[in-house]
Amino acid sequence: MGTQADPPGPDAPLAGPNWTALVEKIKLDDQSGMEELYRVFSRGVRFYLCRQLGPQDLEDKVHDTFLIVVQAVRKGELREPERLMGFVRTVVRRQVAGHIDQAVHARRQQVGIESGTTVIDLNRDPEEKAIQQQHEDIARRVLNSISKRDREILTRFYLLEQSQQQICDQMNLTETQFRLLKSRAKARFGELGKRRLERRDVTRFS
Amino acid sequence: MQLNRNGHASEESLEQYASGVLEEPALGEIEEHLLICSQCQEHLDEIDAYRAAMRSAAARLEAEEESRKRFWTLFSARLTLRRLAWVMALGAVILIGLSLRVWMSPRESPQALAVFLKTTRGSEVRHAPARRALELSLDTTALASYSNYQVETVDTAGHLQAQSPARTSEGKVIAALAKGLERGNYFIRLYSPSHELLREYGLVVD
Repeated sequence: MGTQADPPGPDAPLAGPNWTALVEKIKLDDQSGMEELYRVFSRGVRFYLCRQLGPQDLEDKVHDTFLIVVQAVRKGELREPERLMGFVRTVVRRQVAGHIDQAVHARRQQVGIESGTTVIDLNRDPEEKAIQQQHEDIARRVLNSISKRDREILTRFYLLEQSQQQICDQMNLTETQFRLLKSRAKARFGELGKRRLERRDVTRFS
Repeated sequence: MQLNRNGHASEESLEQYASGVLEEPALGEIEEHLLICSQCQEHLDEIDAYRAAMRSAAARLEAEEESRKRFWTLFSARLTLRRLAWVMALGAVILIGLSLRVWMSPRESPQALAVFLKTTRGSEVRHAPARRALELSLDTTALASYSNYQVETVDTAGHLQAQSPARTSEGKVIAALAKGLERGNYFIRLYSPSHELLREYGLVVD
């Protein structure tokens, strides 16, 4: 069975598990199949759900997702076992859409009702906030260190979310120039972040 | 094809995914890969953090720029020529008023500081404060007596700094330095009416 036992190294080619065998095991109610499914997908599902919906009730959502996948596989709803990855993705996306729909619906119903409104706490913990603040300070330094025109280009891209094509057309840039500016800014960001980290380490150990 | 030779998502693809511009089937390929690849999940986290930092830094810089612009727009809009003339007239009135007050106020002439000087050789060099009116009392012991004297103040290079007539009082020669002296070392020279150097005194101005 060609499933992944360990996560691959940074540059190692990523080979997927034998999806057909895995689906068979799940169908047969084999415990190792369930474990393998969980091991392969739990982090990814958690990552996707957290990225889309935030950390609230994450474990419950992950559990629900696996339940749906397993039940569907057992019922034979997955006709092409080699498409298990795509199937899991579809389930996760439906879960996300369902939660968003639910939240929108709940918000509509709660319009005008002051009491009993559930507000999702989107605030990050203090450590994350501090890290985010540091990142922002570094980004600010990067933006302050470049020309006004370059800053406008990056602002259009990151803040105004204009497309690369649109920016290149309006600012009279070639695609290469745009990519170069972006990658230089990113490299500078990484460099400043690294320096800050080194300084902190020196202070800590001196 | 969104995955590179190693089977991981390319930087470009992850950036496009993070900015939400990726469309099917590329979107599906990346999302399915992200479900099982922790390395690409971490990479996407980094890209998300970088994008968030750039976005908030750019937003902050834009807001600062905007408020600066707004201030100058408001300022220039309100400052019409007529208003400017009024402001300048008001300023001129205030300035004239202040000048008059300074001019009409009784001048406080600080009392001159009396400094008794003996010959430089064998006696302690006297100190006096800078820019303060001085009344020099010169010791004339063992000198021929004249009806009037001339007193000159020279610096260490011998350049004349002040020249003042002197009067005699109780066996001493009194000379006034109304404007005082700048910091430095000086020699006070006492001359007879026929401009014969009678004595030289040292003075340190601090």
